[in-house]
Amino acid sequence: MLAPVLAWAKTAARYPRSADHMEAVLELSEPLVHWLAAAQPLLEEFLGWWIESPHAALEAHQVEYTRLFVARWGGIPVPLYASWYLDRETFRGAAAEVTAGFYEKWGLAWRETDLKAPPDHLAVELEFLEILCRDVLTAPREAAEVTLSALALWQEFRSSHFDRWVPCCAVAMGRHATLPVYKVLALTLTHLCEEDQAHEGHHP
Amino acid sequence: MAPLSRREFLQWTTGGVAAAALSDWVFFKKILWATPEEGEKLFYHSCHICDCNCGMIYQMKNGRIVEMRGNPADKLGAAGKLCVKGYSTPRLYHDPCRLSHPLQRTNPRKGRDQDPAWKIITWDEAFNLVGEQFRRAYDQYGPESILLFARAKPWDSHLQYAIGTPNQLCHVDTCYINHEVAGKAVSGQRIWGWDFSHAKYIVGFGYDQPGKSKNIHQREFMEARRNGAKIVIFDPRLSETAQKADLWIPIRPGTDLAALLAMIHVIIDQGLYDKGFVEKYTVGFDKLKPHVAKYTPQWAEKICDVPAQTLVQIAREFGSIRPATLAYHKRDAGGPVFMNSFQTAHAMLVLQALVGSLDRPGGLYFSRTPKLPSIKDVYQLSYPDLQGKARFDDPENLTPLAFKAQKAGFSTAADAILNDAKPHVALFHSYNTTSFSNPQRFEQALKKLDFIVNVDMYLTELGMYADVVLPENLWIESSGFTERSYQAERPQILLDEGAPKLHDTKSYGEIVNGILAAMKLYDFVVDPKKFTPAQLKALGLDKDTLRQAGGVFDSGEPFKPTEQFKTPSGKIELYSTVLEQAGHAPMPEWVEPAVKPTSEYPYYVVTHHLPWMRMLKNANDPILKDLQCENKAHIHPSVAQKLGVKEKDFVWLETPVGRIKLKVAVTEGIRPDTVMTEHGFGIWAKGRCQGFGWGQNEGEILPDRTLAEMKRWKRHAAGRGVGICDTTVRITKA
Ligand code: SF4
Repeated sequence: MLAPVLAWAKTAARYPRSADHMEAVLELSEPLVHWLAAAQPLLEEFLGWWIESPHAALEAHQVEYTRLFVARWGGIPVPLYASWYLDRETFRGAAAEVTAGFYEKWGLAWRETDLKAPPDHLAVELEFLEILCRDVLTAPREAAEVTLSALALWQEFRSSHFDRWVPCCAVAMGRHATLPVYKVLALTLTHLCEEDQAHEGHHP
Repeated sequence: MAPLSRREFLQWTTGGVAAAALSDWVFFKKILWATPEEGEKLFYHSCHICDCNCGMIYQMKNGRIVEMRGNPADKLGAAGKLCVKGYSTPRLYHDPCRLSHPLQRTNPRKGRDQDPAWKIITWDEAFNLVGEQFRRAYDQYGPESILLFARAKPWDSHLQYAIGTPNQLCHVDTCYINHEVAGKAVSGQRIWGWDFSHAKYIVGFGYDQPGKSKNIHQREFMEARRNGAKIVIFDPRLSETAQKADLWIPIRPGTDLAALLAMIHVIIDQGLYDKGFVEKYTVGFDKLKPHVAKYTPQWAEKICDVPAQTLVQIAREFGSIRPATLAYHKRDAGGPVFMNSFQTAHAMLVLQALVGSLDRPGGLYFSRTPKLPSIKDVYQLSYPDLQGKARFDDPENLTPLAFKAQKAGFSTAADAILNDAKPHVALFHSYNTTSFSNPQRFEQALKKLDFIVNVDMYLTELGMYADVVLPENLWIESSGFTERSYQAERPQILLDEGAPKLHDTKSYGEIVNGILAAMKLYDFVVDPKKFTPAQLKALGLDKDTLRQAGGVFDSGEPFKPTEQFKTPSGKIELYSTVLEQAGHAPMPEWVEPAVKPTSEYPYYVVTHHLPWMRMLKNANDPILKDLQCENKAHIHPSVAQKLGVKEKDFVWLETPVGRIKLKVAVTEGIRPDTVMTEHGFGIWAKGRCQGFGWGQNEGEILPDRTLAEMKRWKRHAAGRGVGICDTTVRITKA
């Protein structure tokens, strides 16, 4: 259930470079509304706007993404990487190193993309969680030595790293976002962390 | 978090979706073999925060700079030490406020209260936007319609020459232009080095480089101190350097020229000059002697508020203790501060020559940087001819010497843009509106331009008026080498091994070539990566040799004093024919400061740099900011009493240009008729999240200059120095 949600969140957490990207945000959103009912009206609002004036909607999302997460008159309100929250507002701090260690444990290396998202960027971490979800039965054991199960790694990654910064990021995002996509992303992240918390105390 | 069972985890996470192939992922690749733990890797670089260019060694681990220290092999530089600014480099590298992507403005309205509403664009999109706008201006209005606010560094000059615009504007008329123009006119060279350690007598006029924590200055100065040199500092405030001196003379602001002329008078009158040096290496002494006869110490006393007897004593000691030297550099009394500062710079050179310490041990040195091939040489380019093309800000060619090296222009930029239809587009390379006095007026001028591109590492105040912002690599991310200029005893080269780029940024060479390609000026598009290896090769060096030598190449050449000077006569010209031909005063002469205190504006204002700040380069460093996060109004206790204020109260400083509100700092170390405040504060563009909102920009109360003023001051202002402190202020309790 979570993998498609993570796939949507990862896509929303990336810069909306093109109309195709916006289409992907819409296409991937279907499973999300089953998991998070509150997302539905916001996504419908977005869909209506997208159908009516895709060009304006794309640019508005590009401006909003830049304003919230990258560069803004007034300072960036919601940096999208862990080091900001965990390493006293640093870019590519120790938290980035920590994430790379987690990826390595699953036989993965972080790959730099054209926008140079750091290893502890929200989209990267969401994709890692998605990999753990989807690839859980086919961990790349033939590569680097994988010592942990996907489950154990998920839990360790979440508790020691992801859940320590994403809730703060989600709160800031919820406060500063003006467009439905980023409001939904904030809700999704909050719900994700809360849902995981709900499993607390549940023993196999 | 409590553990889940494997089955629950699978149900919860996959929801029955099939596993994807690893190649479908955006951010990950499979590790094909286990990578060994990354060990310590050491790299060499020079610090580019200030022109001392101290040698550094830094250590990278997993994409982070984990340690940084001074390079002990850099013996003529910092000798293994960095100043507090240099140590801030890892924080600059990891600064979350650095620009990470090219940005395009989507809100066409510009102003301090307008959100530019940036959006990220690709480099191709950015180059196309800039290329299109610049090409249109180039075709419709000519290359002169393109203004380049940039230093005269290789890639900046390449862009200028390739486009063929005479209109490059540089900050140096708010910095060292007077010293440079005077040095070249009188001695054929610019003075760029100091041998204080061998001096026996040092006199500084507003000189406070050690107080600004410039490593090389500091080291030389403290060695002089240890070697027993006598040090005299003229300064309206008790600077850090003055605190280390034997004598502090709190001279009236704007009158250092009078003290210098009186010293020249005494030294000539009493026959204390170095007769051998003057005879062999100078011309024009016969004209200088009668010229300075009127500048007696008694005459100077009334102007500069220093007893005639003190001036006589200092002049006598300066003329008879050898080697004696003046201490000056950049924004001192001969710098950009007063309209008579060019004459001050000129008088300094003449005085230095009279005591025989111009390019001599224990004196001031000419620049001795290695001879390197230029971009034109390396790529065998032929640029359009700029000869005879009038500048938009000097249509009558009033200050040809200032513009000879494409330097200056800030002081009159606003006036020229507002009153001229020619400029249409502009590029700003690392310059900011806060670099200008009277930024309010400059911002009005910016609104008049059709298109502005800003190349920088931060979203600055200037960026708020830009249409496109191009993020440049931080200097520690650039590779190549640095030629040391401050220690001028012999040529030195420092290896620059760039750290990995953290963002989607480019080097300035890449940016310039991207713009030229987008402008379709293909004849000038080159591969910038070939430039520095070609330059090193010309010196018989390469990266590996430099690395083996500990990151520093020191030519080891013994110091050779100049025998033949690059002036028309081949000698130091005490009567400068170069200045005369350009229509300026050939010998230093007294000029009244442009403004004197009045009952409405009764106080002088002077400025200063804190040792941990380099303009705004470090303004976003949280640790340095905490050392002193805001600038203050430093006033004498008698003034505080008169105003009824005490330490930490607020006062307004007001001039005809504007007003700023500052906290009071009460100190005995300032003249009662003067207020001092520090430069480098008052960031209002919130792109620098740490530095934003602290203190006030003193530029807001300082004047810019008009073309009409330049015409009036032509005789005296050969260097076009901006006269930034030629204003007086009113202080009121806030
Ligand atoms: S003096 Fe400080 S800022 Fe200047 S180059 Fe040296 S370490 Fe860097």
